Amino acid sequence: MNHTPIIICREVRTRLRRPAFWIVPAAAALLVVALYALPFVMTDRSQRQQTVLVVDETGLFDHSFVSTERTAYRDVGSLESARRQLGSGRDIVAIIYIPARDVAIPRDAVLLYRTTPPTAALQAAVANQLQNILRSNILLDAYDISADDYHMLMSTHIQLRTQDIESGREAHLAVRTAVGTTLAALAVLAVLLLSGAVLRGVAEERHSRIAEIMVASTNCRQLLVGKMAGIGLAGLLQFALATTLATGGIVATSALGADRMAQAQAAVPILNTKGAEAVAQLDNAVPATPTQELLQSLAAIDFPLLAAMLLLFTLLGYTAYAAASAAIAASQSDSSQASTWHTIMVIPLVATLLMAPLLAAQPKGALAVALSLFPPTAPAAMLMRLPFGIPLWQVGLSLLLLTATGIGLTLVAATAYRKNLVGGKK
Amino acid sequence: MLRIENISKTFDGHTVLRDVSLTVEPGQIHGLIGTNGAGKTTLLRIVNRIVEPDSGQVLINGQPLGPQHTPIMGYLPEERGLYRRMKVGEQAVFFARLRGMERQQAEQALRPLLASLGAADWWDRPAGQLSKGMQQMVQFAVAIVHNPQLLILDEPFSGFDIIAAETLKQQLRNLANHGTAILLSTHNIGSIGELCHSLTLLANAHVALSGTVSSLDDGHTPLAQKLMQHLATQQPQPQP
Repeated sequence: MNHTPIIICREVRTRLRRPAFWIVPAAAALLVVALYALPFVMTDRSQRQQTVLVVDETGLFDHSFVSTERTAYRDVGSLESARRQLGSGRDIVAIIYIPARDVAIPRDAVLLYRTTPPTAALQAAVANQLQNILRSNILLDAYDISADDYHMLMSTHIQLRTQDIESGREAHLAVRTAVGTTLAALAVLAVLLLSGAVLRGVAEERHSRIAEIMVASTNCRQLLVGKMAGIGLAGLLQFALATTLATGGIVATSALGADRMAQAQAAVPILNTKGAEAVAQLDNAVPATPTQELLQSLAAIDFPLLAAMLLLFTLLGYTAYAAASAAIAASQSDSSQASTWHTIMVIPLVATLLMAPLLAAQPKGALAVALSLFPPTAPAAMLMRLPFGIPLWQVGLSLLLLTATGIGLTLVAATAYRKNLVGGKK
Repeated sequence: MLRIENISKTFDGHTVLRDVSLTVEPGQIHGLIGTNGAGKTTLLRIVNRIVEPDSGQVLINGQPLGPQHTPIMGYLPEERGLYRRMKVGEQAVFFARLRGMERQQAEQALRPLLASLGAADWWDRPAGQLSKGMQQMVQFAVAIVHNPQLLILDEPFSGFDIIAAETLKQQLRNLANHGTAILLSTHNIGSIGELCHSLTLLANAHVALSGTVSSLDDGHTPLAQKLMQHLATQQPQPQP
């Protein structure tokens, strides 16, 4: 009789009843949604326009500050007048004071405040405006450069593309590195958490002396496979739950905050009056934004294939590590000792993840190939390399070796379970 | 029902069992006694297919012992335990299903059984909240819920108070009356004469004495005293 489904059912039901089963994915989803919603929230908080008073003793910045939707700049004749106004109304948050110096180009300014310091964003915006006004004045006035030339000079940046000489396809190396690292991190996280759960499950059976009655009732192999499959299934359910919650949260946040995000994107600081005109004229000539480039790069990646590989390598990696964890837990009478051995066991996997930049720099190098074929490091190394496009035989061989390791370790673990938990052989 | 033939087992060069044979018939309670380390637990684990013998065989209803016999056997090991956070009813059903019962069938059988053992209210309580004796009673229920033809009990009375032990004895007598073959190991020699129909005395890894209780009880010397005397003669002599 096959008892595996009964054992799987018990493992899943036991975990479904634990509060942690629901709290962990909910917390993970909340974190993802919070990170996504942060720009909306920040936009919302900064909806009210702030006023910054400008006291310019040099005359170089006279009426040059350009107000945005978030910040209005108002020139004030004297520092004393500005001082009186600061704090008189809620909206006046700071004074930009540019003192007169005996130099052609001023190099310092002070942002004065009363009680509440200005935000980092305001400080950056002011610094940016100061810098740009100074540069544009020098270029436009001192060197008599036209507004068009000035804008072109300021907005031009070189895009270095990496293309396949035959197909002309973009390499998108940075995006591939990020995708590979994310996949590897997900796999490593799943393997660590779930193999730890198997370790604790077996240790519990050993500690509470259930093992003997279990071994008398069923085959050790079925017992172990059932336990590993049950814990794996519960983990998969948690992942699905977290993904669903996070997706729902992101969709809801997007729907609620679409307008605010549009406003936030529209609130791009303008350099100066002449520069603003140039921006308006050259708007269509501006190359793809970083967001557009990112989307183009992501579109070039075969995500369904990567998702399938993530599932496969995570599953096989989990099988191997879970079986080894079960063997450790069965052979150690002290559960803290078992945890120590488990930590030592997962070092190669974690170390491979930490080596992500190295592997991404040379995804087809000898080290990357060796690590992606070596079963203990394969789940991390292979997933890291996959977005770069690697020979099919390497993927096949890696899967084969990982499968063989998983099966072998499961058999070893079943023997260890029976020998160490109750003594003797079955 | 159960026939153990010439079982031998050695662990790390130390012989634990040597040519041990015994038979338990349906409706019979067979006591297995012996000193610590006499091999009682090893023999019971062999009958439960937890440990493999070096030689000899175990026959159930004339057939060599195999996985097909799991549903007709019940086992209460010496080292007992339950999943602490799992509710009593749920885990009793789980163990019953491992012995081949359907979920509904197991529930229907367990509720009255737990009630007869004074454990009717424990169904929804996590096992970790029960005392050791209560947990053992649950495990006994798990061992017999599927009406096994052969019941194996390793030190069943240890950890029970007098009342619980008496309840257990009554249950065992009922099971035997309904045809269950019972093999139990015990240190409690007194309970042998009270409960068992036959016994096997293990000493120094082999069968030192075997027979029915009635044949060993000559009416002059109490059985317990006789067994103690026999055990004393079987103790290994100190090396000079």
